[in-house]
Amino acid sequence: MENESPSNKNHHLDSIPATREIINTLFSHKLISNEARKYGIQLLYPTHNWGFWAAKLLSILGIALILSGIIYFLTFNWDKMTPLIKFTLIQTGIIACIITSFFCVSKLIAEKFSLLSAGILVGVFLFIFGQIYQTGADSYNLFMIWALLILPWVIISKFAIFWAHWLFISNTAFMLFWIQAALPKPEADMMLFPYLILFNSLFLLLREFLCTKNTNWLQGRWTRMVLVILILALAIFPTMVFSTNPLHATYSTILATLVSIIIHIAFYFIYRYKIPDISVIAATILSVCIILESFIYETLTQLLTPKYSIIYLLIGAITPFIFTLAIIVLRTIAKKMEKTHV
Amino acid sequence: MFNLNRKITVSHLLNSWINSKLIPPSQKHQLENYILSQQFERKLPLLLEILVTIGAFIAALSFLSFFYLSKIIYHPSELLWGIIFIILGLFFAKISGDKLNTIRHSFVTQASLFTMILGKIVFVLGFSKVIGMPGEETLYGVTLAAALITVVTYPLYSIAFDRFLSTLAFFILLLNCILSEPFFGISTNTLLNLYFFIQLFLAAILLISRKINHNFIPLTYAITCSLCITTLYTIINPIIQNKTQNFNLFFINGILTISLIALITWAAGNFKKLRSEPILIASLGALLLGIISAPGIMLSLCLIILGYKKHENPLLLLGLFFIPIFIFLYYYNLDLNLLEKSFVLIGSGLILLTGRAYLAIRKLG
Repeated sequence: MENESPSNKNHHLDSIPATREIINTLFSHKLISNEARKYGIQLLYPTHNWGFWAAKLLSILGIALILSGIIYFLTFNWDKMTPLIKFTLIQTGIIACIITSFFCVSKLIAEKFSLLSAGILVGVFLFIFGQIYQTGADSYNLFMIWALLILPWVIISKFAIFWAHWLFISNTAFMLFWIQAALPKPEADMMLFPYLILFNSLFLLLREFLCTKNTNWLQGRWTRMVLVILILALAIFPTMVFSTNPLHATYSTILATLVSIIIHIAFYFIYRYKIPDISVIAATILSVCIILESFIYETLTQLLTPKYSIIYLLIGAITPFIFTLAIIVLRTIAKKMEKTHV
Repeated sequence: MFNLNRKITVSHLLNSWINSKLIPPSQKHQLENYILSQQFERKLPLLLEILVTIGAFIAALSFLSFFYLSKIIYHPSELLWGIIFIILGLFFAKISGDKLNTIRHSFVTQASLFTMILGKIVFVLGFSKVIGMPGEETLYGVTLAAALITVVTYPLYSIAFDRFLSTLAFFILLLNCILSEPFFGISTNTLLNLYFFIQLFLAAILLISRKINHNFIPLTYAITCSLCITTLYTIINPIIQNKTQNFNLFFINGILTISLIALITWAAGNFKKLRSEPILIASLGALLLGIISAPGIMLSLCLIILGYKKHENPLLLLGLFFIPIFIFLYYYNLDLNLLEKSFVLIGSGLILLTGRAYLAIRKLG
């Protein structure tokens, strides 16, 4: 760090946002005066921001309450309304949201939440359509069509929350399709997990690619962590199923486990060397610990049943070693990352 | 969404200080190196604590199962075993050493935490059986044991998660006790009001105080979470129980209203600001919330204001998390039909948007 070239150091400092925490840490270590501390806090959090922040909160709560009121009104009058009125109301709501979004281009929050509201209302429309016409279609159809219809809006919205909403609908559509339409044979039922892992990994890759192009609206760390945690959760489950009976595992379980292993390795290499992020490494290590614990539990259960007291004793004894190793690995990685990237 | 200083980087901050002559240019290099060295240091301890805590919990529950299944621990030896494990936990913490990046430190810290968790659980079970009916736990016994063990171990055992969880567990048990069991003939209403007041008072001192010892941070967050849980429970209780509750929210409403107004004034800077138009209107809004009896919404707003003023994201996020829940529960609990509720909701939304328009007109937003 001391030997780092000035241009590299400036680049790093330009990418680190100044926070109250940094200022307070400098002050507590007597590196800056109290005057400098107060100046810094005022620079970061000027007094007039209160009004801006309160305005945003009032806007969001106000709109949410009005929308809830409309939903309650519709629910009360639902049985008395003809299908024409129901459809007209929802479609009017969608159009109103789109128009609001169009005219609020300069007011980002209003524009984005209007589009999000329109996206939600599309789902409401499809639900009512299915209810009135009783098509007998499976529920995966609703989610699939919903996801397809709002995709263009999601793309133009440049709104991370809308993308998260769309991913939720898409994943739900996929899972319901698997259960209701694909109807896999028992030996293929675990294939759902590799498909979902690949689907969500694609979006994670897209997110990372767009961030390299300085896409501001995706820069929030939560957009990465939500996808990482989802993918790891999808990876853990088939691996735990594999551990219950590895010798008689179906081909889909084996394949899902392989995909799980590949994902863990991929996360390690990408977020260790390419896009350094210690939080993702920590989540990956925790996932590995959980999988290891599961394997050990299943192995001990198969060997020692019905001596459960011995099983728990051994798990209790082994767990600290597993997590200690995890901590050592994480510390070592963090130190190496600090040297190469800071 | 509420982070408004995204565009101010460390580089910009340092240059501003130099331009304002608050730091000499020669100090810039030292500050740059220090800030860069802190970047990984800040994130890592929290991630490590999470790993240590999860591992310790798994180990503690496994050992607990082993001891009870093998009947090594049984009544009345639980109390003694609990004390032994707690002492062992403290001993491991002492011998873990100061060198953080060693296998010994990591392993011994793990061992310390899981023996401490194990010891506390066994102690609480044992103590409560001693206090109550022979061989049976009582709620009072469990609560008293939790209080005793938290008070004793808090100053001695410095792992933040343990302090937080232990304190929170005690407060939740105490709430359960107040609402479930009679206490020397004192009404549930009085006890609940007293309990809420003490929590609010402690939270106020700890949160508003400028210089708080970092050892009290877990206690602060435990009390804050407990306040949220208490408020949530008092609101949900009539829905779950489907019967008249034996307490009312009048006192809780009152002190939360006063707290919210006081907090708005504190955030504004001083009491003189209470005369300024925006602060006066905000205070009237707080009074209105008190009149319509919305304790959960007031508590969430208190947390949001505190979190924003002190720039503590956990408080801000806690407030933002609970506010939609409390708003939903408030309207759900209204004794009105759907049509009337719809008008109330739309009216409330319009009032808030009017407030938004006011801020825009006055160029405050």
